[in-house]
Amino acid sequence: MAQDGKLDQLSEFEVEVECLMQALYLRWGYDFREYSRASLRRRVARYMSDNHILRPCDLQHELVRDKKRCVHFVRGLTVNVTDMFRDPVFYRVIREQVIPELRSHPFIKIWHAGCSTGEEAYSMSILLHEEGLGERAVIYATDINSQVLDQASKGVYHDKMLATARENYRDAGGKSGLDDFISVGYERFLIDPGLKKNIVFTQHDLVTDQVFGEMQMVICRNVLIYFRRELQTKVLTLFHNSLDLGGFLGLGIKESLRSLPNEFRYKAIDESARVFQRID
Amino acid sequence: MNQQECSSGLIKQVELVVIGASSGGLDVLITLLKALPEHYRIPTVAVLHQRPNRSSGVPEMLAKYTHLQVQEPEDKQGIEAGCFYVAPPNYHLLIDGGKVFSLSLDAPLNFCRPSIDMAMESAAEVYQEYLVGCVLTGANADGAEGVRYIKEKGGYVLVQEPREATVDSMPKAAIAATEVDEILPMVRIAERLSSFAAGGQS
Repeated sequence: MAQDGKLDQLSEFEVEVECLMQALYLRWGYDFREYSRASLRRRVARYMSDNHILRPCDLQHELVRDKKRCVHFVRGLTVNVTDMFRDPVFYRVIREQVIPELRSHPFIKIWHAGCSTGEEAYSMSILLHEEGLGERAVIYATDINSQVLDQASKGVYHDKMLATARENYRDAGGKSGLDDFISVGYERFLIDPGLKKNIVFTQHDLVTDQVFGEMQMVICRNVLIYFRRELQTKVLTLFHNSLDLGGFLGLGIKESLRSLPNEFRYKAIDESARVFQRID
Repeated sequence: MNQQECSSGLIKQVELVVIGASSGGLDVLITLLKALPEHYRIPTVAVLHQRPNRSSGVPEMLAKYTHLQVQEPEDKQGIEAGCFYVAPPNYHLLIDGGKVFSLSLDAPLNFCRPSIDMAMESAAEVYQEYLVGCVLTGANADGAEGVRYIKEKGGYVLVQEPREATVDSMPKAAIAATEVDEILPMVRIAERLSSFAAGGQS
């Protein structure tokens, strides 16, 4: 198609976004060059309209000169939203098929990459406590965005999320009630401090930072969708090198290992829940 | 290559069709699929507003009425001829360079996720004038911004005849947003889509 190459030509806006990403990498080391463009451009456009900036090149001009603004911009670019026990089937499969295998380990290390505001890390912590593994498990919950990590470590959420949280907890096979693990009041709910003891929240950039060693499970859900194929491959290799042989990998419900180089080094524990086990 | 004159007078080659539908959308998609002839192979994406269920069952239901391969695309899946794609519930479905799908969990746009506007705009960026956008029945204004952008990029826009639509707000909003190419009843929309030449795969 398009003998004149028209389909491959970028618009002015697109070209300027490419330059902006290159500039942020060269100036401050923030690397969004391999992020999926469709969503990245939307997020850039939204930041620009919120801040009354007309063109990406104007934004670039400001951001290469002002580190603080750049940090603010990067935070806006990397916020992801989530829920307690998001996709309950995922947690059900963890409970029914992964936990029995993890029991044989004296100590369980889990890396939750891209934990955002922490809801899913706490969900895992609740599950581990219900299964009697809370005392010997540690969850390393990481995100590129220090602001969402601050929110995550507080463990305080708006109560408009509560109905979904309770419903998801039930659908995920929760053994008692979610309310055993939270306290509710003042339009907020608060995660029981006991659940925080085995979670370490820490900043980590999947693009530029290194492996976490010898994990029994790596969870990274709905983060890879923001990456291009090449970067997905690179990050999955990072996960592979962080996982014990026989360790588990949990992805988002619409993310897959299909046609990626690591595909055959895993077997599906449950294909539709996107829970895999490293076999090579 | 079987090329057809369009109302705009241009020879129209099409590489992708993006359809937006909301209230009453499932029924009209079935009508459309039933009416598409065997030779129709243009990759087609349906963005249907659904409850954010974990599994919608919509692809399985639609598959009964068509020769096309109906699927819910996965992230970074390539777009192929002969496929009818249904946006997964509760994700935005975007089209990325290299003609792949890209999913996003960004906040709902005008209360919609998937957003028809987002799918159409991202598709127009990649497919430019080789894109057809199509707005069907629905009770909001999603898709209006999308078709406006498709027109801006030189694409072609079809809208379901509002009098025929179960709920007419969405087609009416699309018609108000831009100079749409044709306003047609469902069966004629199917005819029009099947008259387009599939670009790049003759």
